[in-house]
Amino acid sequence: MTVLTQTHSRTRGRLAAFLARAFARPSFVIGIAILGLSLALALFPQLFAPYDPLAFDLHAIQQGPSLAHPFGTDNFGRDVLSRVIWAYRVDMQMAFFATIFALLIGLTAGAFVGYYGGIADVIFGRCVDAIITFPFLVLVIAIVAVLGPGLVNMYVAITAVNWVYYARLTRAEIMAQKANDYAAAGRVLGYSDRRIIFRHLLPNAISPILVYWMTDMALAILLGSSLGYLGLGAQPPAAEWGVLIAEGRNFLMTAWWMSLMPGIAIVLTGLGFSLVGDALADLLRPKGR
Amino acid sequence: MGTTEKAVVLDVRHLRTEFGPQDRPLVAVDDVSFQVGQGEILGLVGESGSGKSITLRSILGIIRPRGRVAGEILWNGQDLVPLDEARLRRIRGREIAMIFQEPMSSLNPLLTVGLQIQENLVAHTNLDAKARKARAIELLDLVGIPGARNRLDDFPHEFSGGMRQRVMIAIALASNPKLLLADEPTTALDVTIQDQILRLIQSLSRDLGMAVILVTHDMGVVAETCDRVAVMYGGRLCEVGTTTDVIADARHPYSLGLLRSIPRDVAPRTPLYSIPGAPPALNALPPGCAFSARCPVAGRECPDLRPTLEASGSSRLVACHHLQDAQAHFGPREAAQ
Repeated sequence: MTVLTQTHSRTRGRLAAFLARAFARPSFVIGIAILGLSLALALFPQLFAPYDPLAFDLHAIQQGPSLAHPFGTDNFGRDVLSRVIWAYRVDMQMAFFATIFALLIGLTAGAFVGYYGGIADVIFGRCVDAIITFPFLVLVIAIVAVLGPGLVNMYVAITAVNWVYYARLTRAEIMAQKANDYAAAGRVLGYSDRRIIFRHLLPNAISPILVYWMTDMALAILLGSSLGYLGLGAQPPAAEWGVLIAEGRNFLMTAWWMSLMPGIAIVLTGLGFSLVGDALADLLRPKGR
Repeated sequence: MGTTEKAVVLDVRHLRTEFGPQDRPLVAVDDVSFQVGQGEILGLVGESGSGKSITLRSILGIIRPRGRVAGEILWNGQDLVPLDEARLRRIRGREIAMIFQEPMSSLNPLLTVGLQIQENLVAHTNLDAKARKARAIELLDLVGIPGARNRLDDFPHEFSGGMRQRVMIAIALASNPKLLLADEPTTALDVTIQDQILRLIQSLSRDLGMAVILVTHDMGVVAETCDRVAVMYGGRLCEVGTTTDVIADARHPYSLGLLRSIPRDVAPRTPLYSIPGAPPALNALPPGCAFSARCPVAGRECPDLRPTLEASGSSRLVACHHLQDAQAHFGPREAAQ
């Protein structure tokens, strides 16, 4: 009996061991702390923001950082700290929604193409080349321009371009895994292709893709802010870091905090994703098996 | 073809597997015919590139990159060659199973051994979860893994090479296959483990009445394990016969050469015999006998005129124009052993 319970708890033991190794890394700890805080701010901005992010205070226009307004106020007297905090909600959403569909589409397409190869692979390769030929931002801006500005259209535009990178990565990983005997063993055991791809190959191929996803969420925030800055993403008066920076750009000389504070938020959040991604890359890398 | 007393389960007729362009194909397996009886172990011997692995893979229809398979592969009377993937899938794993050379990479590193055995049971049987677990333990026990019950939750990297090969065999046996295709199952293992695995395959074949095709390049493995042996060279069969006959009294110059290259009963520092030259590339096979370029007794007609596999003695098939010359050349030494 003792032996049985022992074996049953082994899987959980492995997860605990993984977490222990993860939290032994400073980069992982810092990254997770940043992301955890970001997530909390995104989920409950009302708990953290001292003011209403949209409330004008015409007696406190463009005040510098002070105790009452740690990040200062903008040209309508709105509290920059509150706006930056509320912007977490929009920007963390962007990090997720601008990448998750690209990830799912790319995983599926890349897995099938990598597994079957042949003519589908050739056609896929040409399409990928065609999409990659365009500079990323230019293509996204073109698609948003056609669809019209706004968050949802921005997600559509980014996904339409971004899935290609996931698909390429997945395809390469699946092709490498496919060469292993366990893939052939699956076929020989009479398993369906779908079972072989999703139960055997993909779990073995997924770690570099997850690591890329982490970095890509940081990139998505940058991209989303860029589009917001250009007026193609989130629309004012909504609080979004790119929008905030754009609002402050005319006052860079007189009210630098209006642009600098959201800028710092972008850098910090991006850093969080990168640190976690980096730590995961090290942790998931197979050691000499 | 080779005669066996037991019922024939697999009857391969004029198997031909080719790759590349239609007009200039690379023929990896050329006109290969053999039979396997119930509970019989057939050794398929040859050096790298002789087409033995491709022959095995042709049987299950898992040729990659896509090759063209022609001929007939009669499995209990049903021809496997024209079957589509869906129907082949019902035979693979359930009736015919296969194990590979590399036990290190043949198991999914992310799934526990128990899950991988049970997965086969899910795919091919109607057992419920509890019965599957019991069967998994029984299988691990059957292939000689000590403490089977406690090892179900272990991952492949927690097993040694020989143990992993046992696990592979356990997975392959999960749905009681009638034929096991073993592609060099012991090549990656050290000699003592090799012996254990071969004995295991032998006893499983005997106890379960399971036929086995054992692909190997090691005549020693054949001598120890197989009932009959088929020697392949350049994608063709040279000689087929019972193991005792072929080892004691090889007829084809290639088999004779192979047997002579095994070191035995010689003084230290005696140079070993080796067959001169290297196997021909698939795109440079002569129209005649594939072995003619390296054959010590080849005549002028050999590279152009293809020898057919003909009966030589009671239960032997040999493809050679110069049987007498071969016997004379290699002398009575081989026969003596």
